[in-house]
Amino acid sequence: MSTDFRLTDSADPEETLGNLLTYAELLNTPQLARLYIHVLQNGPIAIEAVKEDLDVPHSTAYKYVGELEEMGILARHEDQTPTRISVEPIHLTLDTDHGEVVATPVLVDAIGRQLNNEDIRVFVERQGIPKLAAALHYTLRVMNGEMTQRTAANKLDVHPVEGTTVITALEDVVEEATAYDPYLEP
Amino acid sequence: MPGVELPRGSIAIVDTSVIYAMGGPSNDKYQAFEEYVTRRDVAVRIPDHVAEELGESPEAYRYQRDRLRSAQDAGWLERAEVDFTDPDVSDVIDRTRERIYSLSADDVTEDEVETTDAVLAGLAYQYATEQSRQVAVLVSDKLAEEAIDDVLAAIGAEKDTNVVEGRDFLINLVDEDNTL
Repeated sequence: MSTDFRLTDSADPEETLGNLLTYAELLNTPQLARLYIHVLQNGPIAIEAVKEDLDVPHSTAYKYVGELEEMGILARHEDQTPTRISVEPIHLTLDTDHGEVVATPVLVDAIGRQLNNEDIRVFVERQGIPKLAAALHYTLRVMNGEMTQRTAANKLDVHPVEGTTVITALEDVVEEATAYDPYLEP
Repeated sequence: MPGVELPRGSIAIVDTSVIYAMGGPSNDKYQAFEEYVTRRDVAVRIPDHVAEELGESPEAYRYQRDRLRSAQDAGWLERAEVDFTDPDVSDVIDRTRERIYSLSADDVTEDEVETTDAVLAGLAYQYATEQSRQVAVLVSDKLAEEAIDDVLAAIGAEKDTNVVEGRDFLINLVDEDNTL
């Protein structure tokens, strides 16, 4: 993925870079992103249930659970049988060409949706994840009545059809995400 | 929220984002909308400007063009020509564009405000004056909705026109179908 992100000056550079590396896998692996969001929405939840709900193989589910654990954002509740897992909402602030972009669970959800949403998949294939993050940023602003979708497409520097297509798809993601993303303003 | 009704025999001008929100012909929202406008004899129109924008889109978005085409082929959606030579129509378009600009956040420049959004208001005015039918404009962003509504009210066309939030409208249609 290309990186038109710059780290914010104000944040501790070591901590921010550490977070960025930690989350890179989450932002780059749609299946992992989808599992993370499922656990965030339904946790604490048994790993077996996650496997069944998402229809992923046993080995993949355990591999992803291990990765999230290594990132330090997954907790195991071993006092329960079977062991249940839960995850923390991520929060990463990035200073980009589009202003301050905040990466929270709703972005992870959008990334995971590539798997079953044509509008998001086509956009990511053509523009990459950083642009998807920027599109999400503008989607929130459009929903807040700060600009029209076509103005947002201009700011994103993509064709109006491409911009309005992805923003329309992201509006659905944001509406559902208000239920589980604590960083989204209602 | 109670569902908004489009009057029987009225005209509905839709923006492309509302078409995108419907998904393709196999989607519930698309089918509910098709069924609704057919049953209530609502004429659905898309301004030429908006259709042209779709025609010039990157090849990867051919599927969006196909959605529009399937609606045209099914006979419930047609392209409509905006009469820019009518000074009143162009005036409505200019005023709407200005209104969008003034309602936009401070970091939006005038160049970033598209005429395409304002054309929807121009076409609504044109239909409301040419034909004595109720006209609804279906858009799916808050700012365009407010700007179009403001201008149509300011020119005294609010009796014959109304602006509808397209995504909510579609969600209500599907919900109503499911409860019937």
